[in-house]
Amino acid sequence: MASELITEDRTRHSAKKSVGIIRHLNLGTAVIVGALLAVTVNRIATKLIIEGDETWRRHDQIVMATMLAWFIGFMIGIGALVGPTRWFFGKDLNHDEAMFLAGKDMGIKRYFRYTTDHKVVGIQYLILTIALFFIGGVLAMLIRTNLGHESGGLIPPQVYNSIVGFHGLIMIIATIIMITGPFGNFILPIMIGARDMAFPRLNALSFWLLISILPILAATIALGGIPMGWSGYNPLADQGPLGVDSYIFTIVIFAISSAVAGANITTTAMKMRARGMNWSRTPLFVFGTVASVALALPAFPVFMLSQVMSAMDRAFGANFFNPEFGGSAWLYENLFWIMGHPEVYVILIPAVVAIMEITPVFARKPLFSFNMAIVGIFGIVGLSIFVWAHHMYISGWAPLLNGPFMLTTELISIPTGLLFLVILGTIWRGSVWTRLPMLSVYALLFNFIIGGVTGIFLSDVPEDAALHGSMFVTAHFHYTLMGAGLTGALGALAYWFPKMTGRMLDEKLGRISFWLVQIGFTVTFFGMFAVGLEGQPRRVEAYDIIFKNGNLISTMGAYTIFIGMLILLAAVITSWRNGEIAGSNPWGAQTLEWMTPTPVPLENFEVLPVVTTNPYQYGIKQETSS
Amino acid sequence: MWLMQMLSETGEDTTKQSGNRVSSFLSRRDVQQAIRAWVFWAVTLGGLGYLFIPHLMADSASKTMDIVKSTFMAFYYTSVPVAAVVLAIATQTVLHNRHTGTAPPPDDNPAIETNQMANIVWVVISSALCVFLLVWGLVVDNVVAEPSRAANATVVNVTGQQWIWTFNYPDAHKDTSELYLPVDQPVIFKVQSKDVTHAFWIVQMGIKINANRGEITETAVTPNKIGVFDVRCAELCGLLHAHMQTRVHVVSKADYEKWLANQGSVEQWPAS
Amino acid sequence: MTTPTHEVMHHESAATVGVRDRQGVLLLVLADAAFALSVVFSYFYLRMGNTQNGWIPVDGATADKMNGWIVVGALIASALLFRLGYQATVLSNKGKSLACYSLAGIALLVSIWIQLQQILHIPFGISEGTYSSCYYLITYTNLIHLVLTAFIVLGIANRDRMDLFDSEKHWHPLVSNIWLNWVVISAALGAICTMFV
Ligand SMILES: [Cu+2]
Repeated sequence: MASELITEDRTRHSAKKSVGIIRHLNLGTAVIVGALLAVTVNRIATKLIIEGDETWRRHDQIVMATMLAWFIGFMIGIGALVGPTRWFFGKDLNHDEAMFLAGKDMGIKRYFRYTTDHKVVGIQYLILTIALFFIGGVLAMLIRTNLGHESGGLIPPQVYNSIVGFHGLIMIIATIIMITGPFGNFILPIMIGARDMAFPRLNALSFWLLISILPILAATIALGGIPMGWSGYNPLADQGPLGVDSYIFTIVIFAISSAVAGANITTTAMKMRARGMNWSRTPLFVFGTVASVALALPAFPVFMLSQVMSAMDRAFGANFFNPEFGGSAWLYENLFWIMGHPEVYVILIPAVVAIMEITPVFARKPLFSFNMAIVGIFGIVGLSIFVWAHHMYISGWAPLLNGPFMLTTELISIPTGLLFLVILGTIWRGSVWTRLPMLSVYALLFNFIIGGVTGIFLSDVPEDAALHGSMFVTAHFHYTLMGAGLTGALGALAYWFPKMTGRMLDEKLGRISFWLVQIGFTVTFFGMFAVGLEGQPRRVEAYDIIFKNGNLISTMGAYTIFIGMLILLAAVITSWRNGEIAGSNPWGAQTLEWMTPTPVPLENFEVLPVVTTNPYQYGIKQETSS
Repeated sequence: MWLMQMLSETGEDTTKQSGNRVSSFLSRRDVQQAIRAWVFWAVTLGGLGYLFIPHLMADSASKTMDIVKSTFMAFYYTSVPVAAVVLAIATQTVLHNRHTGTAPPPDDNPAIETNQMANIVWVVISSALCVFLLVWGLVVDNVVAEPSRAANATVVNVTGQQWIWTFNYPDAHKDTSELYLPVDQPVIFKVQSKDVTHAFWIVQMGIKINANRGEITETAVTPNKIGVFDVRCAELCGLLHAHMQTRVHVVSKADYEKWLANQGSVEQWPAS
Repeated sequence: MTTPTHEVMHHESAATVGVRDRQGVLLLVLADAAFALSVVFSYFYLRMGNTQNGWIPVDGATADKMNGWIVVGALIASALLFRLGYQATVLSNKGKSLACYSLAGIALLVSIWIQLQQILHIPFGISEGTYSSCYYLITYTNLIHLVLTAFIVLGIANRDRMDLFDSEKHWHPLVSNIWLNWVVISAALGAICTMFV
């Protein structure tokens, strides 16, 4: 990882106008170079790797070599290695080249290049997130359709198990990036009064790393799928088809991408805030985003290691998770959940802080107890590192640790409660300006309390012994990740849409979508809570006749959600193209991103702002920021 | 209702007696509305839970499952007043402070930035609830562990493999594919797997433990009801995970002895 | 959507950019450290677990416990030389700094060569138990670390040759130095692990 050492040396600018090879690199060259290298390496590997007595390992090796070749070729072709190479040879970017990389005067083409402007990266992330949600949503519909009848049967079990795995994997990636990607990149730097991210090229890197894994994910379909679920539990994964290699590769690249993005966003927030913006004047969204990415930073490498080990097991016959030669499935479970629990808060915290950013604007009151919000966020972050084994109460790994992990898990309810206090305190005695973003505030309160309370049930060891692995758990975490997380992201989308696109999100379609999604959501997951309590295991393609009604209700609710989401997609597309033109500050908000013109100019601010108060001065004698 | 009380204190006349403050606070219109909303939500949520949840949960066939069910209800009723606070404030603000239109509302709301008492009370109450949950959890965890400490417990070896369960009775040298247990007798399951990780789950007895290859895990229960119950696999284990289930027959001690002595296959057992 | 507008020039001092670079590298070290510590955790987890007595290879073959430390020794030499080079950069003593950076690069290449030799002569296969799996994991990940670091150190030497550093602009050597120190520590973590067979 040499690229972190490189920044635009803007003090050296020669008159040289040429921008060399980077002018010719874009998504097209990336795909061509990646495909060529992949085919070449595949041919060579097929020849070189001799058929031994364990042929499945040979295929794993060939597939992994091919994927690695694709990845390297893609990154070369998009231009990711130009920077490090030029750094090595002392040929730093001159000003014209930096401007070219930022996408100056390039129009729509900059979205298909290694563009460094944080606003371009933000839009790229937004499109990627929407696409991932669309695919994940279609997969969810397949699952629910199959579960519409108790004997399943619509989809063969092997395919069904892979669909469950895909739905999980894609939705987890989508929910992790859904706020820190689009809004953390587009909005956060403007919000703190910066001209770009701290490491603009790492920003482009984190995005294109994600794009590079999309074909690998798609290839999974041809390689037998990922029938072990997104959690990739070993030894089941060890037994799985070649598609599992795709899964492994996806996780490894995703971990690198999120480490790069995490270092970038954290550094930006810590070192590039406007003059006068001390921590008590920094918007909460900045705290929450940093808390999220900084938590992901140490968490995902642990997951990456588990997948490196899994790859060594599969392709070379190592024994990390093979108990016959000293390995342990519990090791995998530990590594997975040491990442897996912090990851829940990586998803949740940005959604809650986005809602906290929205609430004061639409209630026209200062944010209630700013300090308590900070305590809540960092209390959750701190505790989340010590709760992972509550996912392993019934694994038999360490029964004596169940008590301590129950303690840490239940302690998390205290900082989580503070987040409620802040939102409730803000809306109490405030106005309720019932625009789209504000609807999400209420939906989040409603869903998050249900997600939180059901989480408390599951934190209890004997209760978990009964409910673990049942549909109750599935419903619970959909309430947190979707009911709270996705609702927060949709609120953020409605709130920042005018700034990012210059147009208002269609209020009428938005409302229809909101009600369909929220009602559908409640119906779907109450049905799922019910069958979970009755004893239906999760991740099943068929079930006992006694669970019939609950599943039917869930399936009907799921279709309602899907229709609502399609309407939202239509609203986003039509509003983006010809929605009502938004001014620079349609909500009358006070954070810095609303002080820039819309559309936002290339380097955001002509004159950098100076901040004198926190951005929640509603009803306070006016001496507003900047 | 302490929340609204605290939230309203900023800017109030501090020379009044605190009793007067409380009563004048409680008589405020928005507070009255919020209290009514709170009562509505508390009664609705509590009532719905009381009416529906016990019927939704699987029938109980052990003390462990009784505890699971009572824990669920206890935690549910504990959370109802808290959830009702959230929903009451949401309801009151939506019903009575709504502002519609395309222009932002005027900035004339009370500019309350924080309230130290509200923060303290909130933290104290949530901490107290947290302690209650923890103590409850530790106590019941100890109770459900009782069968595993019983001196006279029967031992059954459970083996999971893709996608069947096998039960071995070491004392009687018996292997079966359906489980037979004597009523009111503690039984310890020693669980392992031949291939991938499974989870051994007796739904109506509220016990579950993973079956791992290369390790033996343990769980225990005392069945207290004669009948036929469900064993399901609760950990995704491949192709036919959904169909990896079998039955538990809980029978009287006499019937159990008879069955043990019977060297024949399971099918010879008369229906209980 | 954003539109490019008129060009605005913004000068940022080397120190401003440098402080940021240091912060970024520290965060990436944090991520890398999470990976390294998980390796340590896994090593001792498997060693203590010793499921089915599968830790040690059946024929008892293990690697020399000092192997890891030989690599660490070469790395420490490289890091010290690099440190001297950085101090010379701060004092604008170009002759000395270039010599030190080059020697640091050579020491690093030596450490790569040693690591490669050790990998080529591992006396057991990867499938012979979890000790061997861990040994392969530790040596190979260390090799990847070393190659990346060699790129950085040689790049610094080359850039020093091209007069790109002076007492004002010394941030690239500084953050590279932080990275190099971390690489020494992570190699030492691996060496400590493999002492416990
Ligand atoms: Cu199973």
